[in-house]
Amino acid sequence: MIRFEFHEPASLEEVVALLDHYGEEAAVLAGGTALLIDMRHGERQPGHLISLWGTPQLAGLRWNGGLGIGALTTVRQMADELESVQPMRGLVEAARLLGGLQVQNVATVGGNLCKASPGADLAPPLLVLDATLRLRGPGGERTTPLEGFLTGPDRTDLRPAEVLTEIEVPELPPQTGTSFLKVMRRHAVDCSIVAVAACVSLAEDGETASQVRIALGAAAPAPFRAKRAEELLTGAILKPSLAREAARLARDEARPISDVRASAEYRQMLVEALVERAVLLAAERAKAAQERQ
Amino acid sequence: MRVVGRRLPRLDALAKVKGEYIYGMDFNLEGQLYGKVVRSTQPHARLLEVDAKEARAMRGVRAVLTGAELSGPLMPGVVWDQPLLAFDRVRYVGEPIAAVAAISPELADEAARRITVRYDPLPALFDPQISMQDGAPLLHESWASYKAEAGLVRQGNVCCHAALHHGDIERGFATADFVFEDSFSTESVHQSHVEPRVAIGAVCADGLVTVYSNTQLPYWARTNVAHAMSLPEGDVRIVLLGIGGAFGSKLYPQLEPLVALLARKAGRPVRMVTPLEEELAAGLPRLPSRVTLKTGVKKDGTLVARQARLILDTGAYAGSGPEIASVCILVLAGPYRTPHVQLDAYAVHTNKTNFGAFRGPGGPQANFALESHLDMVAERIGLDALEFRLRNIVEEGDQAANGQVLKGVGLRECLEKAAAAIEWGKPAGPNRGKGLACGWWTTTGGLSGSRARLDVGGKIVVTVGTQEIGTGAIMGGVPLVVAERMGVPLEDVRIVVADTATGPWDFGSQGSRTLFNVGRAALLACDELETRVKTLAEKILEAPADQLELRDGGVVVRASPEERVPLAKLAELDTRGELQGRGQSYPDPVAHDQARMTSCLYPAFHYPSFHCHAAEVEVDPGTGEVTVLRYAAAHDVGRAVNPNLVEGQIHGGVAQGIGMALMEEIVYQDGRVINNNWTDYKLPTMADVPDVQAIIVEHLSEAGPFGAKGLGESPVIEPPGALANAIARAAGVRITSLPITAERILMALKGESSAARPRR
Amino acid sequence: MTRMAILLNVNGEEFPLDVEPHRTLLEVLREDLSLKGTKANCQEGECGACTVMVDGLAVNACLYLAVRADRKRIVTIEGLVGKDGLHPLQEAFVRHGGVQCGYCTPGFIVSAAALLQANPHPSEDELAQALVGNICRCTGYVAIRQAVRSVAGSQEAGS
Repeated sequence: MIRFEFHEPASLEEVVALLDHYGEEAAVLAGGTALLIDMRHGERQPGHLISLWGTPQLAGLRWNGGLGIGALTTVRQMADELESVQPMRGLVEAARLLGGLQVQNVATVGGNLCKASPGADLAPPLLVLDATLRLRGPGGERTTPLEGFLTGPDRTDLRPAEVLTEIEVPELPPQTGTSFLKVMRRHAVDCSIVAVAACVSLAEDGETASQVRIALGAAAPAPFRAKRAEELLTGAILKPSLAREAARLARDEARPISDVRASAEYRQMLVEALVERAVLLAAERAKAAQERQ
Repeated sequence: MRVVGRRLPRLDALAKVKGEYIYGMDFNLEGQLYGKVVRSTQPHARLLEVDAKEARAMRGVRAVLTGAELSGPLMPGVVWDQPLLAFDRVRYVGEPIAAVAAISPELADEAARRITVRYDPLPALFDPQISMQDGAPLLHESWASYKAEAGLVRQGNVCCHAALHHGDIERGFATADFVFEDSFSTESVHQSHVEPRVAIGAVCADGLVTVYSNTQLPYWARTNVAHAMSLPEGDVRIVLLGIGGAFGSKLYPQLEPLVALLARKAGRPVRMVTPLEEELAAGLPRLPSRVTLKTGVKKDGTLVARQARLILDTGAYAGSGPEIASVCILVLAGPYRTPHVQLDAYAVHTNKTNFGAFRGPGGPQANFALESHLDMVAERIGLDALEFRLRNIVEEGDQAANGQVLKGVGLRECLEKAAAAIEWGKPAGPNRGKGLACGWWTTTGGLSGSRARLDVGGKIVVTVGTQEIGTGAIMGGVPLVVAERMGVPLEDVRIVVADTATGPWDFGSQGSRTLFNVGRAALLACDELETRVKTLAEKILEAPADQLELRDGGVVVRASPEERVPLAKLAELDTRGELQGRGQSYPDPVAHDQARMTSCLYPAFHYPSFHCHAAEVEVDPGTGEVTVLRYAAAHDVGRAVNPNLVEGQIHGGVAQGIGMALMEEIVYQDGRVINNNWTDYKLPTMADVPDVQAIIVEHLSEAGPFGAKGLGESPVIEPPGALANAIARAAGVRITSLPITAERILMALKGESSAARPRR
Repeated sequence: MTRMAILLNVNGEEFPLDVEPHRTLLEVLREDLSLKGTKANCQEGECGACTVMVDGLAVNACLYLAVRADRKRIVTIEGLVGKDGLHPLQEAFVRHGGVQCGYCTPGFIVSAAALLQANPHPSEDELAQALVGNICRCTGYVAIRQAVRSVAGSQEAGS
């Protein structure tokens, strides 16, 4: 039977204090869409839910050179507010493909990351944006890169009684384009079989890629950056043949599993196909950004 | 015609859009307890002990039932092989072993968890090809002693071997210019009705039983409840609740006998709902199939011979397997002229849930195989797929393979129109392809009764004995038929769905039979009502009955219509309650050649419908993903009583067909379903189904209401074949197994065999 | 088990309730307030039959705790009335044959109403995006799209 005490503290300090007090017995309630399902399946049985909704300041976007995304921002809110911010297109596309609208309206950015599903759709686009996480715990505040924070299926580097408060995206170079591609078993509302995000920034000459980042989802125990593929492309002109070669490298970096959705082999084929496309699409968007200036 | 043929609103639409319609899920009885089924965790085992002591002792638990105390019992069916609750052996994961009733759903869950079961595992069989071999362990050791339908050929793990042989197959192949053989397979798919299965049982002081249920077959539920409780059927009343989708799943009385028994034991009503994860794991989804087809054909494309060997996995118990094997035979015969046919279908046991009737049972499995195979044959001999079919399809008056004479054959028109709708002759672009599939299907007969009376205010009240399952047959079709017949506006027709104590007997809402049979019965009831109405009107209008006519809510003198008496007035004057009628529809069995068939429980298609689907798809060569660009489905429905309803059936069936073709599959691992939830069992969303073009073709049936034929099932039959054929052209690879997932396509494109996945 | 006092504003009416924190908005609507129009099945946000509006946004009530709905504006199918007793979407679903078994219908109509309130003239893509979280097993979605399209862009769409 699902039974818990519900707490909705009015300050972040209190949130942390309660998490600290109840320890393993406590779970954070953000959107709750994943948590409630886990509780129904018996995978999590917290005796105490600590709601973050008493601290609504944790939601919202804040621009200060870079972008700060409050952890409690709903997926929908984030997508709507970033709709016209061209360099963030990949992140917006990922948000729009995260379940149906009913889920997007309730699920939060922070929740998607902290649930740490290997296919967490917001992880790849935030990884390629080089996101950093701001966390608050009993010892105070710390920041840590998103890269390395997701350590395995449903596992993160979150320390005891720690809460994710904000996701920071550093300012992007002027000629930057991002993309996000996801293959599912149907045309909407599904976990990724494989997801790929890419971020390409062009140098002043408008041709050379000064920075290329590629992240894969559902292709390993946690979403990760395909560094070898990135290395090949950084400083190069992104011709299709080079993108294809990078895609092959990315395929070899992936460590997908076979599960009820797909086989490991198929996932590897998808990584290859999607990385090539995602990189070229991001490059195309970077070019378009340049042309707008 | 005045109302038949028009897009008029259904009688239940208003309640449904306002959220006021009462479904099984919405119905509760005061003081009810909540039931829960305890299910086997083993695919095949001896049941050593079912220990319910702890559960019985729990506070709030009011009744516990086990198979041991009931000794089963073995429930009625084509083969009486399945106990209501397992008592000595379990044969599939999910098989019911015990049931509890408690004062809250959570307590019932808890009590169920506290029932401990000890098993002695037995070797389990998951592949019907293995379980049908000599020497395979018997899943039913006493199979020979089971009561079974006469004429059924069965042996050991094969609970039915149905066959149709006509002509001389070897001579056929010898005289053919080419002989081709191909094999196909399909997996199980689940009906996935959005409303769960629900039943509430109540027993009153005198022992009479009432079960409220969202069943499609009230009288079959009654038979089962009576049998389980050792009561005469007349002591059991089934009350029909609203149904939120069924598609064959709610034919089976899985809950009704249990809630009745629990209610009797507990002395209080008991409510049970089958939660989705149990429904997907232990419901009655579509039978998986493996079929090998061999065709002999002349070089000009004339079909000479067809041989088929079809193996259906019927799961642990016979259920609908034998009937479905027989139906498959007719689908494999196809609407094609073929002088020599040898068709064999086997329904074989395995240690999985006993699969059952899902809309058009056997249809898509057999049609996918036949239509894919024929496309492959056409391609090999260099003929266009449409042209090949047009050369071989049956025409009016032809005999089908079972010897039945075909009337109302609208197939040519369906083929031509569906093909034209996707511009068949025009080549599709790169990575795109067009495909088609055609077929035929039945309008099931069986008894339906109806009563009609002229009520105060001039309303025609029609009572029927089976429920609206969503197709609109009862709440959209029958009212139009009655309104047309009685000359009244639609607003003056009322439909009452009666329970089994107060209503006319009905074979149920199934098998594409509902509008045809309930409509016919209603028309016959209206015939009697009209006679009596005119008898009364004669006196008032002072004209003989044969000069009178029903028109615009009254009776008029045909030659001088200003002489009129409104029906409302007649109702007022009917002090003796005579203005009523009753009718029964029981279509004659279709004449066919019994000598050609053995063990075929379903030997002929009544008033058959004919159909053709045409699809255009695009395949992404890098990922294998399929997009359905265009889809046209032409159906000969006899008469479209209400085009909205007809189109709705076609759109919806195509969507389910897209699901079966591209994404749906119940995945087994060591006898356990591992994707029993809607996160992992994917249903088509709005993004997966294009604006399907429904093409209505009308070749009247002799007997249906205003010429209508059945339609409810046929639209799910052709999509897998049409899509498989389109994908073969778009991608250049032929996939012979369903579902045709993007993975299968990409693997085939890269020349790799089907990938290793968790299986069986 | 501590009950919590909440105030639910449902279809414009206020209901003070004491609920246990584990209860979902779906359960409270159907069982405590006898508003059976919102439907239940999958309990995991996959089918959308339980869609209600919370502060104008479509959510799955099966995954929304009742205690979170405290003081929020909740609209269910029962609250979608128009000038003549029917919301234009309800009327359109009837007219276009968008209702067969009808079990998914309340969820669809609420999702569509939420869409049109915020975006009276959605593109085809926006329409699909707003409705892919609702599963229908009967209609194949064709008549549902027609019904929603017919209301979108009309004068009454934003009401």
